[in-house]
Amino acid sequence: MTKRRDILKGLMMTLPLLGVASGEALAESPVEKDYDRDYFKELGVRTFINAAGTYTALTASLPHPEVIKAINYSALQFVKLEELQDRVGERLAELLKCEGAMVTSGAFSAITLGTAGVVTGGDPEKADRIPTDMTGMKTEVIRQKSHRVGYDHAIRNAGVKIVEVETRKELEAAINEKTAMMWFLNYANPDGKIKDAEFVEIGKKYKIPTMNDCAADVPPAENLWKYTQMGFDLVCFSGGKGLRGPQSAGLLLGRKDLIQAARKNAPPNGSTVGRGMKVNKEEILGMLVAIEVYLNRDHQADWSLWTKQIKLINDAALSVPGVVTENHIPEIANHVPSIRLKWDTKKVKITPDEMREALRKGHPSIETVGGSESIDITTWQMIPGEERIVAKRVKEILQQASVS
Amino acid sequence: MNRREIIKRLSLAPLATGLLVGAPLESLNAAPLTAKRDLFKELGLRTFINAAGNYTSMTASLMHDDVMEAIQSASKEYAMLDEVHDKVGQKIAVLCKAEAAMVTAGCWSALVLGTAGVLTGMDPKKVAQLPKLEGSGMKSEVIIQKSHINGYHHALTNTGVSIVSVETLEETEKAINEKTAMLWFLNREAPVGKIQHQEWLELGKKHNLPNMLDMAADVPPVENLWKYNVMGFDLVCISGGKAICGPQSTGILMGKKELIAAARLNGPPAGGNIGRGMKVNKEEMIGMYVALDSYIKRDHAQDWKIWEERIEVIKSALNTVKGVTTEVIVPPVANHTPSLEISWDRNKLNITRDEFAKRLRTGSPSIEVIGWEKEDSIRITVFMLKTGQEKVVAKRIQEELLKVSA
Repeated sequence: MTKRRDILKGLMMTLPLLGVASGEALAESPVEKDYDRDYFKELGVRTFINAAGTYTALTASLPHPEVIKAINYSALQFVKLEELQDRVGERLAELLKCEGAMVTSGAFSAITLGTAGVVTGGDPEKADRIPTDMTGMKTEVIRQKSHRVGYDHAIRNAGVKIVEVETRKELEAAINEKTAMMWFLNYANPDGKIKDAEFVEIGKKYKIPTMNDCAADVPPAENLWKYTQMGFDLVCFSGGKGLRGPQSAGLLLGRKDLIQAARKNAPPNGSTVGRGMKVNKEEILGMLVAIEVYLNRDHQADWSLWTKQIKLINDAALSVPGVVTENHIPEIANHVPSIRLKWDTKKVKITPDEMREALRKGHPSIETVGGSESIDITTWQMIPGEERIVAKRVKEILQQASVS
Repeated sequence: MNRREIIKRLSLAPLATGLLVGAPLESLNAAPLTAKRDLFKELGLRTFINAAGNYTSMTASLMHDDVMEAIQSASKEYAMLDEVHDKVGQKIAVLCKAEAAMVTAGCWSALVLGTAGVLTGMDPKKVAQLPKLEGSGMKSEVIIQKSHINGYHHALTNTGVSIVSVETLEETEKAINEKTAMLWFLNREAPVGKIQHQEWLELGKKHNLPNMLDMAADVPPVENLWKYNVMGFDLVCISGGKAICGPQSTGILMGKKELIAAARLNGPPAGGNIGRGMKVNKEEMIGMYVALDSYIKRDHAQDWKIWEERIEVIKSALNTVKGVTTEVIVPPVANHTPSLEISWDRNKLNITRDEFAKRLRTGSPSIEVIGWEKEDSIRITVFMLKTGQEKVVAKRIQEELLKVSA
């Protein structure tokens, strides 16, 4: 772990050709060692450079140092959990320009709690019955077919079933007295026949609450308020992705009455669908600080750094004959500079899967994503400076596999 | 100024009372902080001395420095979440003499994930179907003794199962059928149930049904961490953020290897399942392991002695107040630590329990006690106090009682 700094120093000396683009990043030291025990080493857990992105399985993001400070601070005193949610919720609502807010155990948890809030209306007697006994509650949630995703299981966990529609006409026909909510998957907006604003308009017309799942949809920062202001009644975000809060935290934003109702289905309230989705005071405060830090960031500077980092990796890869690169920015969700590496396997004799494994097994270990056709890389969750190591390893592996 | 000095000063100076709720006491927040910002104060939050115990709504327990260090250390690097799960699970399993273990988002989450694992096994199709069991081919009933049904069983029904309530062995035998998924035992209600651990286990073995035990708050004694695994329960659930002082949002599910593996399919980082909303991050997992390891290594006899001494400090401060009686109570199971019941004669001390608890709460420093069990009586625990706080608690209770003495 401490070696990474030495590796970087070494890189600076031996690789002047790569040295220009992200020079400013090198001012920050990669891993600041302010702890005594190295638990990952003790446990034999491999640590790695995250060139993939904010994937839960890869522990998504590293919390900002300010977040860890807030966690350390929060650990020293007892407070009432409900009072903390009240105050943090108020502050978050103010910062994010919405009526109400609560910290949840991730975006998935926000979806379940929000749905539970809608169907129970915050009635503890109803909260005590879902998901097995839905008597007297609405039981259907409408979603567009193109918005189907594994995450919609979060809705079903509240005891409701999903009704699929494709067109506005179908949607309006599907609405009945059992309709509890209409659910929207933000990143699928371009794929759906009904777009976000129209979806909200239909919800308002029939007085059905609408929920938008924006899990990985910052940057841009404006998205934090864009959808509540558009009129979605509830909006869900992941806290441990682009926001770099605690990885097991998320946000439920929206109408005050629905947030209150959602909280009746969450800890510390027992006998609820959400009691297992625990968030402690450290995470709640950590999440608030993460939002503050995120909103205060120079987002242009972040963007400019990511662009330069991607260029560094791009140039290193392109220096190997037969390699082609695609620089792209996903429109929604993980909307950051990204690069896709492909090559002519006649000139470079290694498959993308083999290359990914080589990056993983190298030292330091590097995680990337992509299918059997490409290596996909983002730099936004790297510790600044690591892009040099990635660029070097990418080039090295591609060169070694090159037919000379 | 360190905490001990603050408390010394507090116990010398006459205490200001009557601070409004929401106004945290300056001096309590003057403890050595790693951050310059005082976030609780910024948010107008009341911090308090916890003389109540491990209540989730009161944030239960405070983590020790080694746990905080572990959290900080783990926050610096990326790791595969499943690998952290594997390795931390192995360590915990060894510590608790179980075949396997996993860190969950609290004991409740352990109950949900464990039950889900029993229902789905390693079948991803079944995982995707919960909590709709109808027509899925999965079993759908969990048998519980009537006296063990007290709210926590909702964790089981979150997976879609229904609860079958029984009282006697005979009834249980009759209730078991092809839909029976599991037998469930709430450890803290053992004394009031007609069927005890061993018999319950035998029933399970006889009918080849997995047996789950919920022991959320049931350490100390430390031995309970392995007692029920060794006894033969297939799954055991415990809270991580209570007496063990791990992260408050963690718990442990331990037991049979294949059942833990199945439970993990129903939780993060796997998606599209019943448990994805019960997120635990790598910091919490490692923090939980370190807390458990440290807890087991503690000098438990010494801890007990310290608790008794604290109880004595408070008890002796109240002996002088006329009309007040005290009794040391040690709950047999769950929160099994010395506690002090303080009762008063309303003819001599005219104050209701609620008003008394309120005065302690709104006083300075704010103190939370158990103020909901009996009329004209409160109960306090001392195991969540920081060193020296017992003196503050003794003084404040004495003060408030004397104020209403005839």
